[in-house]
Amino acid sequence: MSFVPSIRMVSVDLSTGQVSRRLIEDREILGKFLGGRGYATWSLLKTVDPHLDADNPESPIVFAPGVLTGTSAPSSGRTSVIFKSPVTRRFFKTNVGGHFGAQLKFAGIDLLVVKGRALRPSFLLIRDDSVEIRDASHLWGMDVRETNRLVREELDDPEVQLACIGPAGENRVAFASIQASIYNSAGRGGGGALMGGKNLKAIAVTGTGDVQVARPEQFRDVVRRLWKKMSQASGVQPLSDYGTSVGIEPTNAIHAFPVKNFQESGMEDVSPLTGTYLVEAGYLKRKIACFSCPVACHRFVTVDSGRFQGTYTGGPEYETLAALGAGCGSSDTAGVIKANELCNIFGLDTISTGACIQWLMECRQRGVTTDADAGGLDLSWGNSETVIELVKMIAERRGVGDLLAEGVQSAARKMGGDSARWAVQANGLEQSRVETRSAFSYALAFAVSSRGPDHLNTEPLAEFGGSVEARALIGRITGDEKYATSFLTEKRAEIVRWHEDIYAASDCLGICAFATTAQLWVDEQDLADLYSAATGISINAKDIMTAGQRIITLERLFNQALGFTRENDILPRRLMEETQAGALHENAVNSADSLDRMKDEYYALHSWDRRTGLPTEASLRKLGLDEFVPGGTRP
Amino acid sequence: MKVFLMDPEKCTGCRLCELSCSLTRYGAFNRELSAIRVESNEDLSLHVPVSCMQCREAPCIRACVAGALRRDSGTGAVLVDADRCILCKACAVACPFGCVSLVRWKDAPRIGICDLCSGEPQCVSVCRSQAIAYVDEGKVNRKKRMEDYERVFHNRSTES
Repeated sequence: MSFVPSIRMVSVDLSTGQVSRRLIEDREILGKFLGGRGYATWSLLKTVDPHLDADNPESPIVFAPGVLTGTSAPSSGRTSVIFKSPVTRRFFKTNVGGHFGAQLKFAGIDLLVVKGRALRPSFLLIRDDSVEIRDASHLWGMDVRETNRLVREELDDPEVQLACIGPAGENRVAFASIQASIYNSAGRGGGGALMGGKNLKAIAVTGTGDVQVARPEQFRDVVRRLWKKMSQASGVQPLSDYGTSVGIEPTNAIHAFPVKNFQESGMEDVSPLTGTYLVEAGYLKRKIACFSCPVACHRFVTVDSGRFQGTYTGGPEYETLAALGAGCGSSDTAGVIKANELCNIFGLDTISTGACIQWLMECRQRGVTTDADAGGLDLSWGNSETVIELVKMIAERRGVGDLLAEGVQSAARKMGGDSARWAVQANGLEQSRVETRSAFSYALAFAVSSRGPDHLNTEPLAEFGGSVEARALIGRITGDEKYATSFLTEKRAEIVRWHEDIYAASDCLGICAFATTAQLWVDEQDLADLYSAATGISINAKDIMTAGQRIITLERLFNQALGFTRENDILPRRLMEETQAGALHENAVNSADSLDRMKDEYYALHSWDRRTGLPTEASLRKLGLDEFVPGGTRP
Repeated sequence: MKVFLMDPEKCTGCRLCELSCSLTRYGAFNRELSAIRVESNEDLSLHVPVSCMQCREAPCIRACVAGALRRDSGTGAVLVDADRCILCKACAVACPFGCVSLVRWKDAPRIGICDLCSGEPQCVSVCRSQAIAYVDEGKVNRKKRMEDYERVFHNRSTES
């Protein structure tokens, strides 16, 4: 079985039990949208009315492993999960590692579309050519680890790969995650709640087929070259040794590490939250890799003594340590690990979970709520026991947990007072723990992102100029390495434009965005070479970036149909109204003025309308997206 | 003679060994075709690479009734003569490590045993975490001894 250059699409309707298959071999379409995230987005836009309510069973969820997933291309095992978010009510793309996507490929599936709603709790079982909907009544209520164990026992197959939800998804928590390979999260946007609404507990896959590439010799050469680049990239070994939290110390040092719900920008002693500490204090037991990744930045940790003895989990990542630790005013390593374990097994996004808890703690700080309102919990900053209890209460929708389970935007509306002012969200998505008031490419990227304010559509880390490679990249994008400083508004639009295109293209290929946007050892030429060798469709670096731009534009069109325009390209209020405490530069705020200026430049680079921030007819035609021109030939 | 030395503590579960094996032998990516396999307990994130241990008194060779298995004098790898093999699977049953398997390639069954890639095992070259090493037979124990020594020494120094 050879999957490239073609897309094997399997669609499942949980309402009718119908399974259909389609083979897409149109080389023009494949070259234009690459595959994975790109094809899925195009297909979604063509077949689904954006107005279809996310809670409507007909609203689909799409699993799209990368074009290269299943091959030995380094760090190519990632899968995009695409849906209309039940929380933000906008287009949403998440992306997850682990081994689930590769199993889909070995089962002969490049794209899995699930819609409808099963009558009772069910799971989807895919074994090579066989696709069946099975009863999951016995799995309902089980956590993610139990679910994996029970399905493996039921099938007598320890190798079956699951993407599943925990109790949080069943309870439709707004930020319930989908957990792949147990500890990898398609975390953001409420994909878990969407699955819960479909009565879909899990998708279980085993595949025994082949993945083949069109030009094996050429492919081997490109892979060999990338290994060499990887070994020379300065950031790879630190990431491998200390995980994503390797970034916490330097971020804290430049006062850009959000503490206490973005009220402060650093901790006096941040060391217990760092990757080096996880190693030195003995929490780290193993470095873990996603499928086909030689870097292995994921962690497996255990807590062997103290209050949280017996805790074990994948993680904690940078964002988790920031969201459930520093943001809650805590640097209790074991406490964060415990909260992380619970999020993983209940199926909760750690970023939004932490964001909601921090917001509640600030509500208490400002007298909008009391410990008594929270059932007697001590809501003072830094209490890790409280954080852990709140994680459980959110997953189970108990007490104040039920309020938080709707996400911070909705919780602030219900709480009232001034609490919306410190609800650090925009467009319904809690901001990831990035201090955008000290990083203006991030600020622009977060404001214009189709999904809302986080780093997982565009990761312009290079603007900090933290490595030789980062400075060189900024030099290449802007013409001068001097722009590799995050306090400038100049050239941020150029930086964001480059990063959003390559991020989208990386997702299409299944390549980890760390490789293309953080450690910078895979560039657009490498992506083009990998794609050409794998599929036999020869494309160049420019084609790769243009495909990325098409995807960004399509996502924009989806949100445009829902009425979102320039006015909605915003950041959380706090970051636009309050100056960052302890910043190392002046004007440490995301002022409307500076954001407006950057947005003007950004829309201009897209040839979008400056006033509305929307794609123009010319910009659509230039990208070959004529079918989406209003009044054009949209099928 | 060189042999494999596996260290599960270092294995990250990336499966690049399996992918490079199947690519080298069959030109396709397929874990089922790989002569090296990584067994995993995902819950505990434990991954154990397993491949032919190149037993001196190889049970697989002894079990073969067709005279299809022989040892390569250079690398020590057990090689399969597909023309003689009658696919009885006695070798697979005999292997104490489960490293002989019946695989299916282009719809034809065949016996798969690690052939050490003629002395340059590809799985080793893609194992960045060095969970799979290919070392001189005589050095296997020394490496283990050194690691134990370092572990003990490290514990002492952190205790004091």
